[in-house]
Amino acid sequence: MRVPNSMEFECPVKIHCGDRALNHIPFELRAIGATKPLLIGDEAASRDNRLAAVLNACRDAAMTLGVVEEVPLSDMPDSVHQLAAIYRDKDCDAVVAVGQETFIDLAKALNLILSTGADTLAPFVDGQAIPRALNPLAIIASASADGFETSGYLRFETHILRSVHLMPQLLFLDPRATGRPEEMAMVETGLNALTNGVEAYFGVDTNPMKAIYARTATMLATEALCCLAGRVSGTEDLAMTAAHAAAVGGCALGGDLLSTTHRLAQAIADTGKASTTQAKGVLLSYVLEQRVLEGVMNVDVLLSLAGGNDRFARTPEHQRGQAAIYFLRNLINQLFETTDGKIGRTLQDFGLTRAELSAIARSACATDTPGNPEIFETILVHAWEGRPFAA
Amino acid sequence: MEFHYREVATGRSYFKRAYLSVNLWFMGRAIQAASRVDERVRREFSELPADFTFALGVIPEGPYMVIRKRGKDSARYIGRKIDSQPVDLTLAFKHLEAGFLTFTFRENTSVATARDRLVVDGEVAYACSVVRILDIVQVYLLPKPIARMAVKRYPRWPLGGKLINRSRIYWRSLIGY
Repeated sequence: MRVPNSMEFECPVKIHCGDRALNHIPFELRAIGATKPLLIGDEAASRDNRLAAVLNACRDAAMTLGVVEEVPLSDMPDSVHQLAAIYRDKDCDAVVAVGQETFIDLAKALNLILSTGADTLAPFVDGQAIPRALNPLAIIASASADGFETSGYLRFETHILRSVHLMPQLLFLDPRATGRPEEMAMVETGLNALTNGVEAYFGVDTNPMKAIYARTATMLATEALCCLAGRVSGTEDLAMTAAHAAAVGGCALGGDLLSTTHRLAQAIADTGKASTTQAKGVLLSYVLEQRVLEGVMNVDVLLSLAGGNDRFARTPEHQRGQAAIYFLRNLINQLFETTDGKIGRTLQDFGLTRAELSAIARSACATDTPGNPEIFETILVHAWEGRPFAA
Repeated sequence: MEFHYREVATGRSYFKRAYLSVNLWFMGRAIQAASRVDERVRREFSELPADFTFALGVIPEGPYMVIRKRGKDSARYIGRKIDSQPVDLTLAFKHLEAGFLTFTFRENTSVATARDRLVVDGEVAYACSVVRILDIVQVYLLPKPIARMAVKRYPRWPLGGKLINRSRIYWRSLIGY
């Protein structure tokens, strides 16, 4: 890896993981000055007893917790408004969120509003700077994650805010809270983590510090996905491996610009025919291959990250790039079989038509990051046909 | 939709707290006894500063065990309250469950430290001495199969000396001498 002339790296997330990690919550909250946290959970957290596990873990903490369960996500602004009122009314001083994906965005939005005294997120959408010192935010992650939980991204309705200051201070990964999700949920978590890890590692603004997180996320995600695809027999706890990968991948992503894979996947998801995760699974290898052809990326190292050092060592040097791409596609093909087609191999599998691709490419370019719609469309066409660039 | 807010007091585990209190009380008296009986413990105490006081316990509300060095190389169990006197070194479990794990011998002190369950407030070199003292005392107090789980490495001591010292430490601990 080339060491950049100048770089910045910040990861304010303290990660606690493993057996009885949840028991550390009161100690860690006290350490950052919180004495009365507001514990919020989504419906899944209550249903799977994950919220109860957190309350049990806080036993003997000599602390009072405010609890709001089953927070609905259907009307996020209203939920945030009500939670903020409760937080202020009851003199709480930290937010502990038990949930996943969109619910974590809600928790970040709540914390941003509470920390700044704003009523809505509108000033920040309009460009107001996000302050450095936000109130304490702790996240109890599950194994069904979209990989953005630990990142500096806040996706609220149609808006995306990003700042390293939005990253949570604390993250807890405990088998009692990660739960035992269905295989499909773990596959999606793994794919999200893989995309975040690979894109962070090969991103234009990568640096040696970020590479450590990105490398770890990629390796953990590949390990989990290979097990789920039936390639290798089991990691001891797939749910924890997938949750780790998602957490580390989010840290690698931080508050950086979204990559091509993320933007195209989001544009595809906006059509309503596939989820962002499904789209990422198909797109990742094509985006990487296109970059290799452009000569802006050396993909050889991907083989050691995803395929392992043995595979890297026994592959001739000039074939490593193609072998890495082949490895990714083969993995997706196997996941297609093990998930009964829920993870697609091409964009056609999701019912997208060739005519829709131009609009998707333009939509992906219409973000805060400049992009070339022609290149985007070329990638989409190849991913739609399932035809490698080299062919 | 109106949210339902409730406040939850975190409660107390009376059994675990009582178990740890008894264990720490007996351990404190055993350290005091061992400092009069065992040469290794005396040597460790001799290298600590005069009137050095250390505490082992659980955050946030205890129980604690407070020990103070007395004389050249012996020690005295002060009691279970950490706030009654200044303490040079505090080893505290982050939560009651971590203390319970260690004192039910499912996890030794080294593993608890490695798993980030133990907080050390004070000089690390002295903390290492204290952990060695705790290990020696546990080897004396516990039967070998249990002590092997409680300490990092079970020592090879002559059986006769160990049994004699064990009985001396036990009766001294019971009478508090």
